[in-house]
This record gives sequence, C-alpha cells and structure tokens, in this order.
Amino acid sequence: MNSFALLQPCTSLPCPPSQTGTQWADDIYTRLLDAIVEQRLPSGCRLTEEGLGQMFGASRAQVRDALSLLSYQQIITMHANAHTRVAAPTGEQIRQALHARRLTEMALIPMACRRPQKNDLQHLQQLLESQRQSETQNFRGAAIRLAGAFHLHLAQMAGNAPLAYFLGNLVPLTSLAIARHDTVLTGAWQQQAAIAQAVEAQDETTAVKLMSQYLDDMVLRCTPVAQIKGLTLL
Amino acid sequence: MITSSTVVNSVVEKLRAALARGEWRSGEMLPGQRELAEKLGISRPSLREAMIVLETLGLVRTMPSKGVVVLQAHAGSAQSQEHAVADASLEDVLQLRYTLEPFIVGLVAQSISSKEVGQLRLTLMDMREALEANDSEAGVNAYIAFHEELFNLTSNPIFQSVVQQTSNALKQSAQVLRNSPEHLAERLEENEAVVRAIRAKNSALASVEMRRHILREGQRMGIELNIPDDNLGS
Repeated sequence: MNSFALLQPCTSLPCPPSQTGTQWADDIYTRLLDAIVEQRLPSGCRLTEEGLGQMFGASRAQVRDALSLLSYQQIITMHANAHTRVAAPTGEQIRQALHARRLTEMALIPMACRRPQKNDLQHLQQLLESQRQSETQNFRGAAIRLAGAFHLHLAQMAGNAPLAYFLGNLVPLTSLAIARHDTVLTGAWQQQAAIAQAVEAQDETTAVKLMSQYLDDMVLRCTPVAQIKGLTLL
Repeated sequence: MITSSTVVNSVVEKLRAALARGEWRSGEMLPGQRELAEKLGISRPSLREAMIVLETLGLVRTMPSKGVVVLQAHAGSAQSQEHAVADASLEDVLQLRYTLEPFIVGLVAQSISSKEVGQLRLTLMDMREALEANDSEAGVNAYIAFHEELFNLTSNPIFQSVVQQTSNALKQSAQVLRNSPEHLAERLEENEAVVRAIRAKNSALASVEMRRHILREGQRMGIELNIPDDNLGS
C-alpha cells in the first residue's frame, strides 16, 4: 500500500521532548513519528534518506538523525545489508515496553503530585484539550500522540530527568501498538483528566490508583483484538 | 534467547557510547577489527555487522584498505543521555535504578547462557580480590564493571540507555564509593546473591535481590527512596 500521497505536514502539533539536539531533526522526527503512528507509513514500509528528505524538505543528515532516534525507540528497523523499514514490533517487545512503562510511571506519579506548578497544570490541560479536539475531528494519530505527551509532561513534573528520559523512549512504541490494535478510541483524555485533577489536588493515593487503572486499560488497547477474545474465553 | 541482531544492537550501543564518551574523536581511525572485537568481547562477524549499522547511521566510514574512520563522535541517543544524566542527582539515579534494574535483571535471568553467567562471576571475583587486597579503587571499578556486564546482557536496546546512564552516574560518584571501603564487602555479598538467583534462572528472586541491593545502597548513601506500592514487577 503506497500511502505517500496521503502524507501531509502536521503543523499545529506540540513537539515531543527535545532528544536529538537540533530543532530541525526534532521536527522531522515528530512528523515521521506521526506518519508512522497514523499508518500513513505502514508497517514494513521501506524508508530511504533521499525519499524522506524530499518529502519533508530536509537534508539527509537531518533525516538520518531522526531515523537514528526512531531506530533506537524500536519504531523502525535498520539492519546491516537490508533496507530501513517501519518496524512491526513483536508482542514480546510491546509487553516489555508496557511493563517498563508501568514501573516507570508508577514511580513518577507520586513525585508529580508533590510539586505541581501552576504552569505545568495548565500545560496538562492544554494537552488534554488538544487531544479532545483531535479525537472529535477523528485525527487518531494525533490523539494517540497527545495522550503520550500528557504522560511525558507528568514525568517532567516529577523532576527525575533520567526516569523521564527513559519514559520518553518507551512511549512511541506503545503509541504505535495502540494505533495498530485499539479499534475503538476509548477516550483516554477523560481518564487522564481525572489523573490531572488528582495531581492538582496533590492527592497521591487517587492519582496512583487512576494511573494504575489507565495502564491496565492500555495493555488491552495494545493487544490485538483476536487475543483479547482469546483471553475472555479462558 | 539472544539473536544475532540483538548482539549487533548491543555492540552498536557500546560503540556509540564509546564514541559519545570521546574515546575516539572525529577523524580518528578505530582500532583494527581484531583488537576492537577483543575489547568488546564479541566475534568479528558481529563487529562487522555493527560497523555497517554505524556506517548507515553516518557515524563512521569504512575506508578500503585503511580501516574505519570516525565521522561524528557524538551520536543522537548517546549524546542526549549524557545530557539527561548531567542534571541528575545521585538520588535521581538511585530512584531510576530501583525502578528499573530489578525488572531488567529479571529479564536477564530468563535468557542468560552459562557462559555469560561465567563472565558475571569473573567480575565478582575481581571485586572479591579488591576487597582482600583492601584496594578501594579496584573495588569501585569492579563494582561498575559488574553492573555494566550484567545489564549489557539485556536483549532490549531501550533498557541499555538505563545501563549507560547509571554507569556514567556511578563513575561520577566513584569518589563517594571509594570513600566508603567498608561497604565493599556488603556490596559484594548483595551482588553475589543477585548472581546466584540469575544462575538458578530464578527471575523473581533475582529481582528481589536487586531491589534489596539498591535499597541498601540508598541507606549506605543516606538517601531515602520513593517506593511505589505497585510492585507488579516483582
């Protein structure tokens, strides 16, 4: 399936945490990740530096930086003597990422409750509002990525840079899994709004409980429908 | 099960880390294949594959009949890790370790080969020798080497960012560790317990022992950790 024709620049979307150092690479990184999560670049799709450079109006070096980060995050595969392709993550990879996300986020959420700043809380609300709008307009990929951005901002609020950085590299893979397998958008932002409220009230117990519930639901959202049906039969 | 591509990934990360540490500068030649393969403890075919990945990433270039020249000493992911860890306090890093290392060690216990167990035990022997010789410098080095050896066994490249962050932080705090030689015996004992559990392929116990080690490490440094109730990782 050639989806290149559908590729449009995604403007108006907030940037992920700066990870590659240069503004340009971040921008290409975000747009590439969006294209992959929205499956405009489907699993197995071959990626070339030249092709992407032309498509995004960027230099090969900029494209290479973005590809390097995506490869590290297991969103694309780069192998010796083989073409660079959009990854098809295995169930085990996703299971490990989900587990690591749970450990990381359950450690971060109580810390985020301890020092919520007004501008951080406002930013969370903005992310939720953008997510709600994306969902209403049926921009699935953007909604999924904004849901991830909500968690990354919570992580920043917690104030542990290495843990937040680690989470930043896990979120893209789970976003991709959700995009592939979650057939009904379950209104993540509603659950997240409740988490934001608990954080604002510095109510650790409630925030932890809601986050745990959210992550449990996410496991289902990352699982192929056929397997979920198999689970309920057991 | 460690597949050849995960070996290559881990070599790529090792080399990237070495480049980011400034072990080789841009424009310098890498050591010959035999020397480099020995240094990294891998086979030459794995090294050659890793080199092709690094070349694809634009970090090195193979010059026919001359060797491999370093183009870009600072690569994307490794560079930003340095950045993330630069702001991290000892407490942040200990929290990161407590959150993730028990889980990672559990994964290692599931997939480790007897040869790899042997390598781990060698680093423990170095630690014991240092203890007996009352050499705190060597003791700290062996402790860091054990840590690196253990976590390089994980087959998931995302977890290796944790390894790099914590090794760097351990090196930065080496002075603190050196100043408390009386703790080396406890450290060794706790790490031996981790390896015993890994050797028995007992993931759950390995996680428990690692959690205990990091908690004790925190106590020795006078750092109180935030311990989430949610311990599904155990």
